[in-house]
Amino acid sequence: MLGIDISEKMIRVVRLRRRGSGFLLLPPLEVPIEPQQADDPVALGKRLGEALRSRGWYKKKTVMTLPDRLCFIRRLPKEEIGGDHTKNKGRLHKTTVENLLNTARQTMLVSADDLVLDLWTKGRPLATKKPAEVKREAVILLGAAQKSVVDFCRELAVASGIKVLSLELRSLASVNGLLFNWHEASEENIAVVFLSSQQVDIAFMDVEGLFSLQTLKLTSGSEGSVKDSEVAFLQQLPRVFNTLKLSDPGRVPQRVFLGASSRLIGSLSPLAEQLRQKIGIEVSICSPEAGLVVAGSRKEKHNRPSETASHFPPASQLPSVSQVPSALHTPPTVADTADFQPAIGAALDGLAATPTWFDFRHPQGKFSEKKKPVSWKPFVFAAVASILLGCAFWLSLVQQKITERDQLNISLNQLQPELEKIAEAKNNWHRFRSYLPSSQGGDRLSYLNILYEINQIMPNTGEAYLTSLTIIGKKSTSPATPSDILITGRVSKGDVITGKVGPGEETTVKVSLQEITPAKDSQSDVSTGFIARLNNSNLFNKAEQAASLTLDVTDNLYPFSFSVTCNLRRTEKTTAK
Amino acid sequence: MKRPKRHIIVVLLVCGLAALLVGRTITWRMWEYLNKLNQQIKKDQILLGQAEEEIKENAEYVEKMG
Repeated sequence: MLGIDISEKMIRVVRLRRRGSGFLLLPPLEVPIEPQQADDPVALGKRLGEALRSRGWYKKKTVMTLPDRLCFIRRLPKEEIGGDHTKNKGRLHKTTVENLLNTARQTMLVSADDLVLDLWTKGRPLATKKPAEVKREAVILLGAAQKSVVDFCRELAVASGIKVLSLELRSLASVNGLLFNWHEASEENIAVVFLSSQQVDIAFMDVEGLFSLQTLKLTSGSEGSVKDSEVAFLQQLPRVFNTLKLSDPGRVPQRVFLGASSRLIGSLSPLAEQLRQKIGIEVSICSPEAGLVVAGSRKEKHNRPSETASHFPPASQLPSVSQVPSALHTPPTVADTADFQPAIGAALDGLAATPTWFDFRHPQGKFSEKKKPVSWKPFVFAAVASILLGCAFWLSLVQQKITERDQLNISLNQLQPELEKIAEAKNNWHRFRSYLPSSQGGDRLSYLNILYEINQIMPNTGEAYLTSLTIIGKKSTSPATPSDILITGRVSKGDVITGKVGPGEETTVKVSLQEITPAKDSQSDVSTGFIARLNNSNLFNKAEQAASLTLDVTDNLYPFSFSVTCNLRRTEKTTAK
Repeated sequence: MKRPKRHIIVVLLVCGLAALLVGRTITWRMWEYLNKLNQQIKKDQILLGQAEEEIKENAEYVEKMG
């Protein structure tokens, strides 16, 4: 398990392995942060990834600390959270989250939008607990961090490509790094203090574990001297203890465990003594390597925590900061290990060795607001209704089209007899066309009209028949063909043509005329012969014999041949045709 | 947050894809049938129009030729 600690100027990485009942600390790794890369998570991540790859630690599981920024840890009674927060598998209601955010915001003085929360109850984080278990818990630990810092670490983790299991608050990781110094303490109430050159982290614990963790800034800048830090430490820490004595006298610590970074570890002993005198509480100095087996050390055995300040090696025996070797593969000294305390705490978190931890990689708070239970039923009903409506619309459309098609078919069937008549008429026309000269042009309907009219006027077949019908069409100007139409044929009697007929023939002709022009027949009995009927027609006029009748004795039935000419009546209608 | 199991996501994806394919096929067939009906109607309308025009044009011939 890797523990990565991101401080202002350095990224420190430790690797812990379980060995028996203790932990083996492999030679740690330091990656300096260049000032221009300090705000660039991608560049930092790439650099960290390269460093881990060169060490062969690239694929190890990791817990990372959030950089030193504002954070907040406070134990809250369940009643203080309010509402039934156990609903939905341990997730919190929106109102509960808002209450918690307000609580954290009052201390951290940042906007609620820049806060993320994580909750912890005895044993494990709240999110992994079943609702029934959460109900039984009397207290809940609330941790809050700045969202921007969490996002920075997430981006760094993505850029480096390492497997980050969780993100831990650096203050808590520092305290957890000193775990083997304080976790077997016999006192009910204790305080764990980790002193670095710029700030001090103070964790107060009772029989149920951590109930408050505070971070005090000692110097404003990173260049403050060790002396300034010590002075500020001795001034501010007693105030915190006095405040606790006044507000909660039942939980005043009976022992203080004091640890420090390498820069201050040399003066830890006199500091502990002065602190004991000021607050009147026994102070124990923590060994940075307690509970750890440092790989590569000569003894390579478990270091036992020191019970009191007197048991810890005096400062003169510890190497100074300048003596810390730069080569990381050499065994680290006690002072080296002191700087890696937060990283060790993070790694112990990942190994589930610490009693209290947070996971800001999967925090609660704002994220839980999105998880509103949405019923799937309305969506299914809406989808089914839409499909049914669509099908109904389609069926109605199809029905309408089928009806329209059937109507059209009925109409077509009704027209069939008419079409058959047309086909028959066309067939008849084709038969008639063979009698017309192929060179003859003109409107076929005009020919048909003339033929139809002559057919109506012509005497019975028993009396006469046509041998030729010549239709010139236009009135010719030549004297040889003065008429439009020339009709020649043979006839049984001459009267049939000229109209000078006897009573018998008259009757026959009259019958024929009645069929054709009954009006004229009723007006006069004179018009009887073929020529007369031609002149009475609406289509012809000026009908006359072109030549006198010629007798041919060889033909007994039709002994006379005749020749008749006539003109077409040039009315407006016929001219147009 | 408890992450959804991978096989559930895979099953849901496969079911969704299958439903999409079936739905698409059914919709396509429905659309095709409607198009076929429309084409038939258009064809019948054209035939009817031609028949009516022919009858109108040839009415006189039919009378005379008959």
